[in-house]
Amino acid sequence: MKGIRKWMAAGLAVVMAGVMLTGASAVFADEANTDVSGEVRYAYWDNNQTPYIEKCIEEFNKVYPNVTITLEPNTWDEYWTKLEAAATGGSIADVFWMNGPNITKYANGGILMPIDDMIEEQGIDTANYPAGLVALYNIGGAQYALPKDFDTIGVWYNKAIFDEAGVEYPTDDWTWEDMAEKAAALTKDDGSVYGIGAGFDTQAGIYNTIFAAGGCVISEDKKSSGYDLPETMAGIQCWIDLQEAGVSPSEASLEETTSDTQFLSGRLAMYWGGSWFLGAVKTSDLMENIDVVELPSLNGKKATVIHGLGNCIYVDTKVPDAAKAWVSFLAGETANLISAETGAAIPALAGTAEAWVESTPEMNLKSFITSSEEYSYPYPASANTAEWNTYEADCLKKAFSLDVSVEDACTELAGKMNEVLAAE
Amino acid sequence: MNNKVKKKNTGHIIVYIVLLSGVLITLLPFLWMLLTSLKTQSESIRVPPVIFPAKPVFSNYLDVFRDVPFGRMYINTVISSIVTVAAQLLLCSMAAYAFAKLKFPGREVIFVTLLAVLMVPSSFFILPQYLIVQKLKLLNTIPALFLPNLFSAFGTFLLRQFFMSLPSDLEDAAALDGCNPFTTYWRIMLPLAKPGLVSLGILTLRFAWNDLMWPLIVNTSQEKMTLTAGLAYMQGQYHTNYPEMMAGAMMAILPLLILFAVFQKQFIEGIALTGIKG
Amino acid sequence: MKRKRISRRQRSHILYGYLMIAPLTAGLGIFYFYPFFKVFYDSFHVVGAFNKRSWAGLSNYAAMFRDPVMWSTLWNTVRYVIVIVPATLALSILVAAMLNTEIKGRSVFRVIYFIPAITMSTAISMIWRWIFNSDFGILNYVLSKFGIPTVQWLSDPRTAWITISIVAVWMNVGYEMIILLAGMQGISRTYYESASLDGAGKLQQFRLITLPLLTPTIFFVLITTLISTFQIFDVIYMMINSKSLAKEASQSIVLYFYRNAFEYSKKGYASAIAIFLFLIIMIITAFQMKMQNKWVNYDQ
Repeated sequence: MKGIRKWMAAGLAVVMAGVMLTGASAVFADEANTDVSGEVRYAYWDNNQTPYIEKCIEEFNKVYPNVTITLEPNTWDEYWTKLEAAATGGSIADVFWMNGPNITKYANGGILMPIDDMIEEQGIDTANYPAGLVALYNIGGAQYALPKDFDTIGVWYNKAIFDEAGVEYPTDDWTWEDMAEKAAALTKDDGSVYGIGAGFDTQAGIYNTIFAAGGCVISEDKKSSGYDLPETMAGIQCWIDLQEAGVSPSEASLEETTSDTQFLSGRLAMYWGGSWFLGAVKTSDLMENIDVVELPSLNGKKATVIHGLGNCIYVDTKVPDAAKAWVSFLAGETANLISAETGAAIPALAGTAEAWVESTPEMNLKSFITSSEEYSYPYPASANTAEWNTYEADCLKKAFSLDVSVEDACTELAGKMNEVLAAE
Repeated sequence: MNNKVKKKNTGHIIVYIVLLSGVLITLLPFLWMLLTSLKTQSESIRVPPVIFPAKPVFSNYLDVFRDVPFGRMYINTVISSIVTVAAQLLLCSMAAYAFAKLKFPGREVIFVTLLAVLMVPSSFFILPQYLIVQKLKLLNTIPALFLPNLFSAFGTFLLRQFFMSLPSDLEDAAALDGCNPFTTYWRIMLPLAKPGLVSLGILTLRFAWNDLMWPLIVNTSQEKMTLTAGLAYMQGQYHTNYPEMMAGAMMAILPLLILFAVFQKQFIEGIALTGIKG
Repeated sequence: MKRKRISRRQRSHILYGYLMIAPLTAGLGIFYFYPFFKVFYDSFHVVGAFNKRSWAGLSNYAAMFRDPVMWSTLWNTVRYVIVIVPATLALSILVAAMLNTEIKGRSVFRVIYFIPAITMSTAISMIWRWIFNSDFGILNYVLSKFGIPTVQWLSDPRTAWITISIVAVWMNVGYEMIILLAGMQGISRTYYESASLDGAGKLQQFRLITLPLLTPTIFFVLITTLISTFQIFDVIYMMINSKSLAKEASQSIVLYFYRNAFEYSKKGYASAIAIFLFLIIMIITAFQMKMQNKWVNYDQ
């Protein structure tokens, strides 16, 4: 899986993108398209990206003055519930965010419009996007979305807490043991500061260590669970060790007040979070104290999950032309650069990720690009991902709260997950 | 005699102590809500907790309006509440009068059947109701917020009890004067039923203002949401800003509190009536 | 002549009767009865994502009886009822009885106690969740001053349901108190006067006069809190998120229905749960109605 994004490193790609950029913006600037009109409802879940989207609309309307984009922001918790209800009722937004765990369900459910012809019409070259993410949104040979961004995981840390405790900042070549040591040194006895947030998390937590430990979440053929493998259990056990060492708030505490909130309140010295966290960091009063490093290596091996969101179009949308115009605009140069500049998310289009890194030069954002190029693994998913995701949380949280052993939790989970997979 | 007075006084003191501690338990959450709403984000999540903000931050209240269309949600909630109350008062009282005072075949059967609705939690109806509203092409509109709530079996039950307690002499007189049943209801009985209507109006207002599940599902666009759905949205945000959330909550509960402060007598009598008539 | 007049009045009763109940009946029919039959119908189907359905016979019901979560959910709900209903009743009778004396500031107390009843439960749950937060909440901080160790109010499966119950009772008491107080004030003074002459103390009067004569109101409050507690939803939904450790130990039947219908895309199964709860509530209400003759005193 290494080097999914090798193209990123290639200077050639950057140059090519630069050429494309000038060409594309020339087209956009010259002709305003007044033929396409209508109201496009756009549903998404991360409010941190609202400034980016609003800027995109501004630019988009210069080209398509007669298309109105109406925003439907949601919370993560309610997004999928509402999206499904709306899809059932036929009132789903015209364009909406999609992710890896849900794409198969929506594509097979006949909710999404294939965009192959749009890609052809607009002359979009899918090779300019991370291959793994393009493949993620290709179901049964049809393309349903282009990745709007990609994300990997890093360790965000609060320099002020490190300074106060006299602990050295982490470096990109650190190990899990380094992290555990630092976490212990940073933890205060009175519970006011903990070294790290070691709560249950999949994408920003155990998935990364499972891959680093040589395990897997789901088998290659997507027919069986990987949770009963000893390597997978080892990738979870290392987190439980942190819990047992008392260098993290308890699972219960992290559940009541999520680790990102605790981190931004100055209670956590280190926090495993995605590149998307930059948006929240930028609006926080702790901004100057925060930096980020690559994930530590586990037994000499590094791994991060890579994932990216896509923009999908509702199959029965009343404004297909306007929706397509909006989606291809979002996939284009201008929108990707806006995403980079606002820091909203790492843009997926070749060559624009650099601009994201440069948007905040005082931080080590390069680490996210390095990890995506050198040791990234695709987000594990099958047709009914959402269903076994529920079981993951139900079973593994008991291990994180130290109520049952990792082995028992994993065995139970593997059983339930295999049932779901067998029914697919 | 003296002893008795003393005993009475100790009794009173105990009663006061119990009542005052009850008052404390009732009001403290609201006080904490107010205090939190005036803190900065980092003040609100400090260990140990900060009781009083160093400097009250009123900007949290403005931030609510910046982050969600709170003004719009206010208007939506007000419109939806007013329409719901008005429609229930009219439709329920009309039907209740017919069930109480007019004789027509199937009256009892229809009435008892309608009451069966009371047995089923309203959330069970949500999905089919959602599909109906969708067929009517009303999703993401203001009418969607109140449509199913316009019809109330409970309201009909309550008002029927009320009409039944009114004497029939007036109606007989009205009938002799040539009034048809509708004009009798409209001109004579409805004014007499005012306490019952106030009571139902208060109950309905309380329900409509506070309803969460239906508005949450039926309208996805924030411009068409109610305050409750707006609060749920704020609570679900990734990085939760407690002071801002509490500022939103304060503003959401304020209108009913003010209304209650002004009309407390009607509120309390109205609620009390439901117990007596029910 | 006379007969004809009566029949004309009868005719107009029939005509206007139907006309006047028509709007309400039509509305209830469309928005409540049709959905009810739809739910009933769905309970015999597998209804997956995006309303894809196939006939399932009784398998949803069979699955329900085998589903351990369903049973724990049912037990949770019963537990809420067992705790919340008596606590609400006891506290609201206590407060009402105290406000039914000649103490000063009665109306002020009455107004304050009523405030929770008109506050949005969404907003109230938010503040309670924050108060109960184990790390940043004010409650644990205050308790720690008294040397009580940190309690995970909302995330510990053993305490979460108690926390929910406390909040629910807090929300209920003011409202029910008003109804009970009105009931108490409806009891004729003469009973108390003659009891006073017989030398009965306040407590005795309460036990021998107030309580027995209040039974119709108590019965009303009992039935309404019982039914509403069986349908408890908002508080849990707002205070305990769907990924919480305490999720299973705290979720009620209605919440489990909601999660199946909207989060797990199992609408057929959810419909079977709905029908099941409907039956339970019906049985309980019928049972209560029968039992009331044994203890409710209507001849005042």
